[in-house]
Amino acid sequence: MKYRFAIPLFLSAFLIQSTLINYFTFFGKAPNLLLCLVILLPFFYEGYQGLVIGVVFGLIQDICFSVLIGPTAIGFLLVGILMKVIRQRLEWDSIISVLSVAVLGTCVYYLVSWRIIAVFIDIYPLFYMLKGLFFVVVYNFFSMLLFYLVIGKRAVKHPQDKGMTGSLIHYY
Amino acid sequence: MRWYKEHWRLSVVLLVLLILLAVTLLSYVNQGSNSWIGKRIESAATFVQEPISSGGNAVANTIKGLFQFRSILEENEKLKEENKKLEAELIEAVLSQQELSELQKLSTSLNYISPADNYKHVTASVIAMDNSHWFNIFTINEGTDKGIVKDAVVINEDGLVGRVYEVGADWSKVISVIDEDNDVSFQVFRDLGLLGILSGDGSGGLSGYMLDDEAPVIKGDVLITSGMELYPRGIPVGKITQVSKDKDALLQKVTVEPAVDFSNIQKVTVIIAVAT
Repeated sequence: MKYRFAIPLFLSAFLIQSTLINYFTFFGKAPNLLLCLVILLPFFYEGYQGLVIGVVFGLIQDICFSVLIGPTAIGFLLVGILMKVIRQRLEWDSIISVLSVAVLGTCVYYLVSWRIIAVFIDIYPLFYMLKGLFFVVVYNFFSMLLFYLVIGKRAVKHPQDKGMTGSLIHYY
Repeated sequence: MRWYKEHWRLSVVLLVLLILLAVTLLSYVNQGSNSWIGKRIESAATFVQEPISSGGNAVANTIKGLFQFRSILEENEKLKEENKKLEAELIEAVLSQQELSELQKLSTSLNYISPADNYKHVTASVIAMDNSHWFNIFTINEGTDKGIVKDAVVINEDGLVGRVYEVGADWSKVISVIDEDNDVSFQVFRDLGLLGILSGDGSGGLSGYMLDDEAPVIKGDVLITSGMELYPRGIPVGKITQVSKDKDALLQKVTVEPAVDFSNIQKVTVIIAVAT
């Protein structure tokens, strides 16, 4: 995905997440839209745009809503790299893949950022964090599913598409 | 050098990771004092978030109003009943009022300054909050322009919310009391002689201990701030949900449910201490 598409996408996710999404919370939890993009963009698209912009917005999110600046950006960086690695092993055009990356990406991000924050500040116990994580994973999966059905499917080339290359042969 | 060239992607990732770790460390050392760039970013974010947030509020309140029509009618009936009772109480209060006015005259003649006169109140709307993040930190739409300063106390209609963590010209970042390491000294509303200390318990609640380990506190006791530290006296903090004895430390511990629902705050009042 090109920067001119990725930047507005991240900006919208950031603004919606900090304002409107608060009306859709259940059990005090809300989906993490920025994390959803950090997971999906490196997974669906070539290039490092999702990763780079993800790190920048991770910093912005920390500046606005955190005591520490950096843990969110580090979490996004590691999740983005993980998605780049997984991209080579999973079929993109599948809801099961979206579910897998949603669960894996969300868990890795929250565990990494929790660990970093816990080094500096007395934060939630791990058990309490894991309890809330279930709802966030469910939320994130549905947000990612929506993204996949509306935008993501177009990122996947099909056999009839022009310009098919040998690297995409395993999608048959 | 050759290794870096051969593994340039890995080198870039490691470099970025190191920079981010350094930023984290710096922000930990300088907590609550954002850089010039950080403040500009927050100002820009606030500028865009405010209209989106007010638009969202307006739509949400309209929809809520449509669905809550029946409950509003029921509430109206209850309020009428309550009004009758209050009218009766008002008659009794008039007599007390006469006594109060006499005492006020006396305090004026003695140049007494009430603690309430030492504070200025600024009402603000919450314009940004991120429920997916670790901390209950949110942004309000008033700042130094209205006299808000760092560490000013923030309350809402339910009770103590927290304090101002960072402040800009027209925005302030508020950190909730449940995220704080700072202690809150409290009094039990039922018996103002019972005192204790509370702080965030790290899992969305408050916990602490009574100064007197034999204090007769019970589940359901309402706690208010005692005014001994940062927070002025008389602000509801929460309700005791559990009382337990720590035999090793000889302490009577209390677990407290905060008076405020931190996931749904729309309006707050900032209390600013006025120099006298």
